[in-house]
Amino acid sequence: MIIGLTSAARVNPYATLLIDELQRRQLPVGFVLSAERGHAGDVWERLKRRGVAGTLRALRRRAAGAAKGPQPLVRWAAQRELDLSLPLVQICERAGIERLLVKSLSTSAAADAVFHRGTEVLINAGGGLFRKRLLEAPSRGLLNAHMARLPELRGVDVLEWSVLLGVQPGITVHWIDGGVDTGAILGFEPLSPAPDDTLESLRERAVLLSATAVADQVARLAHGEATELPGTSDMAPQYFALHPRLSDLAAARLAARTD
Amino acid sequence: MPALLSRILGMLRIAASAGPWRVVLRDLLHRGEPLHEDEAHLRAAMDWLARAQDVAGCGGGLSAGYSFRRGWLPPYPETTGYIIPTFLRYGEHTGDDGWIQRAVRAGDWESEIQLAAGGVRGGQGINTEPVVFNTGQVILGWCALHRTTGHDKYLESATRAADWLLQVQDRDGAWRQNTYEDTPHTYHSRVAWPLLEVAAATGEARYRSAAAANLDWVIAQARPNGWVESMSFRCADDPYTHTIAYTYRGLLECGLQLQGDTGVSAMQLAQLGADRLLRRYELNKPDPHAEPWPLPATLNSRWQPSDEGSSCVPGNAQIALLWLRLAVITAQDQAASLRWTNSALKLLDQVKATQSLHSRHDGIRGGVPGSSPVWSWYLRLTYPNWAAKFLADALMETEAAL
Repeated sequence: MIIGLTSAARVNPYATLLIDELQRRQLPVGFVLSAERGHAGDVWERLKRRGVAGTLRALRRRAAGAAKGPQPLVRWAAQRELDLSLPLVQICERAGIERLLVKSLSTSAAADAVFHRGTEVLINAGGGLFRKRLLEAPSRGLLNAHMARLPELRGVDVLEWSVLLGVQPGITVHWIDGGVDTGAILGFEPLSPAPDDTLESLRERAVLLSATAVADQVARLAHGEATELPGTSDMAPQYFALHPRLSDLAAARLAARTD
Repeated sequence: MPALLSRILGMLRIAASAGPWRVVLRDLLHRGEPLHEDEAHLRAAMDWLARAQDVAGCGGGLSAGYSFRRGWLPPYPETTGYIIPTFLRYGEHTGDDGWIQRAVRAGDWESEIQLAAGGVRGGQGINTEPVVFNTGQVILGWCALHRTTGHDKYLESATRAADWLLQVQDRDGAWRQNTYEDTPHTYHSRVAWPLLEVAAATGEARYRSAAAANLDWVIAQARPNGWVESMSFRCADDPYTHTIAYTYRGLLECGLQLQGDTGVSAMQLAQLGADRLLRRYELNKPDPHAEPWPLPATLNSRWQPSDEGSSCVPGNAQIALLWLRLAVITAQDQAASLRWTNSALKLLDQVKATQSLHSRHDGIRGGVPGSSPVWSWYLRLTYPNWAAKFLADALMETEAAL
């Protein structure tokens, strides 16, 4: 099976974890399709998307969250002897993976590169919204790990929404189609928060679970054992980025949970 | 010549004052005012409304707003009427009886200037022509005062006004005479709502029937996508979010009070419209995680913006309030309720970012502009009293929703 990954970041811990998990299942990644920018490009993109105030707010929140709670990603990486801070270019070199640098994942060059390599499964490890031509380039499709149960919770910040609404957090592996989290569903893996989890550490746990859940589903696809459930319509309720007050409420509910 | 002189005086007034310049510069640089706790923004908005009442100098009516060119505007009967419930609610919120007294003064003033036939005078200042929409909004104030004080004089004023509304209503339930440009408007759902309040207070079924007839007419103007025709002031224009919000709020409040098919349809249409507004807002941003751009000032029947460059700030506050009302009403469905609340909080932050809490200028401090940027079409360079009112209402409703 020819497997590719998308990426839009110079350093991509999730892609690093995915490559490791797939290799452990004898499913080597054929290539990484990367639309990464340099440091300056990253900063510019963040400023463009969030504005100065939004970027500072996000950095402050991240710093505040990082100072508290367990750090499951750090622990996991140490156990696996993985360096999650390494640039993806070095990860690819070490693993002998082809790295295709493209200007944007939306270009026809990106879709052509995927198609001409005979890719069966492309895995979303970053890149934002995908154009139809890229979705149609791999023969089986573009696979995604969604941080909540689908089809119930489609949208963004859905891990936090799960906590806020008191529903089982977890990861849904699904195919990406033209809608927002509307594609056919391969499976759901529940995520159990640890007693000392914060939203930040729970998110790290979700990143880890995403990598293993996607790798498991790719293995099932490779062995012809995957099953699919229908997705949903684009008119079903969608969950949008959480306002900081509701994020705080979710954090308080996570801290107060007793089960 | 007088118009030219007035314009020159207006320009001189702006040039001589630092406050307006600071607002213009802020909007030129796309800088928002700093955000504070809701309580600080609420207090500032209420203090501004109190100043608007004090400067009007008519005993109880509130100045329509502060204009950079014309200064404080004449009192406005329509909005004074619907600010009465805001004063009453804030009085309850703070436990300060002074706000109840302000509401009483406003209600008494409305009764004093009520026309002999029962209608409420249209426009700013003391005019002679009654207007349907304005009459409905003042009824909301009188009914709220009647509930709070128990004084029958307010219900008498409200009943006289409601009787006049019934007199000028057409057989199909719409109002055509004594309306803006003598055309029917679907934002008159916000006139059906006060009729239901009078029906509830008096037990008279005819007010309820008149409200239901109007709602049936409004619902008949709806498209399958939730859009309702004739929501604008002028037939040829796309409506401002201000009048769109009026329409759906009227439908919502009527849906809560009316039994039967009409009530159910009104509620469903209000929820559909509110949901389309929420999607319009939340999906208009550069990135799924980014803060949405403020709603455009006007929308067309496909829910597309027809004016991308500006936002109608009172409309934004009203839409946030509509979502918060839905959050409270759907509280038993936590997911739905929190979805409404989430978007309302974001939109309200953008309204709060137009409100200066520390300006030394009395017309600006605590007030909310009509447009963002302040020089845009909807009430250019003006801080209308209804913008502060709807911000205050929304902030108080936030407390209920959370």
